Amino acid sequence: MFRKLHRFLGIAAALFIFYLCLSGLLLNHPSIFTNKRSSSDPSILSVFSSPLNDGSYWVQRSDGFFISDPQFNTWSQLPLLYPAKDIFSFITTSSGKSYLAFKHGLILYLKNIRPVMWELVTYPPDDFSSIRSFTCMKDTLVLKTERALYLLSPTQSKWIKIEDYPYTFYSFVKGLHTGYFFKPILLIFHDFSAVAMIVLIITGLSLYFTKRPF
Amino acid sequence: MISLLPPLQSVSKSVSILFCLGCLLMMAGQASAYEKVYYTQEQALAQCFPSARSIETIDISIDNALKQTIEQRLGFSFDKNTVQIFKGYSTDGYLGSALILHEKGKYEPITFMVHISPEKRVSNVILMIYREKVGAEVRKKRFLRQFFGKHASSSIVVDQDIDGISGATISSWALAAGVKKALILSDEI
Repeated sequence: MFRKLHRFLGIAAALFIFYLCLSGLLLNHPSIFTNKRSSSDPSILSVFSSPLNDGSYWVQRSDGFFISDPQFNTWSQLPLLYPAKDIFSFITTSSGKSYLAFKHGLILYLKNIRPVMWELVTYPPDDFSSIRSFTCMKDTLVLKTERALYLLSPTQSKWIKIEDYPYTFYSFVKGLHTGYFFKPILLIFHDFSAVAMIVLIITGLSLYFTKRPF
Repeated sequence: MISLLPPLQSVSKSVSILFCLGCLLMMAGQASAYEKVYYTQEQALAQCFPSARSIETIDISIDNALKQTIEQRLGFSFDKNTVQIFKGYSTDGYLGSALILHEKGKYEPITFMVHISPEKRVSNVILMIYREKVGAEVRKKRFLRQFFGKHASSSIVVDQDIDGISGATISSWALAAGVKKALILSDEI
């Protein structure tokens, strides 16, 4: 009875690990999914209202940042030196100043609209974490990263740290689990382990169900 | 009985002196804590123009009209008033030009040299000084080689025609932006 139970539990666990390994292996290489699409059929990632309030849209696409008419029929690409697919948000303050934030922690100020000209905004010091939220309250910019919450009002020249989110043991464990740490090295290790696990499961199951010679 | 160990007082004095010296060294090095020089200007020029008989250094002033043209083509503000350009010559003729750029990464400027061939294409990119805490991997050849052959009308954006480096995302973006700037500059001046 125990042998039978052990066999069924073993098969269920093996299948669980099998699909985890397979999906993990595919997710480790996102280019498998994205490259095919962006070359011929660039997808719309986000739509923002125009800072000009002229009814047009400023659209984040996988292949760039564009201005489009309300029906999305005509497209005009905006100059941008950084990858548009990493845009986090595009906001306009009550005084009409527009800012573009990238998820990896970079903010651009729209210095001029016609022609479009961007300028780098000084980022809060020593914060290498990703942006979690970027918005404005009237003229004050509100930036939340993984590490802290900052405010930048028009009267200040520097970001003011409001709240700190210290690095906890939980974030370390999460980082380790999601593969955030030692990415390039661990990626190879994870790929190798996933392939090894898939092979072990397939060979294990096939050995389990084939009749033994004696 | 004679003790072979030095007296406790002198040990503690030596430790204190060493600690103070360490603190002073740390304070002195704080301004450029992560700065690393990989190539000096001379070394980088020698890499760009190995067969050059002479290298001409030209300082070009950028007037408002030129600045406006550069900004329009880049879609980015350009705050330099002068640009230094190096032109290499061998016995066979012109070898192209090289520019030194200081492109801001996340916090600190990244200094690098871009060699542009007489056909106005990138033929070498050399990272000279890296000052950021993280991301020095952008100096690797396999990343820098991707810029070779690019011209002013190439997009030169990470994830479009350049593969970025994970863990050095902003630095890869900065280098790509800098190479684009160098090409447009050499096109306009």
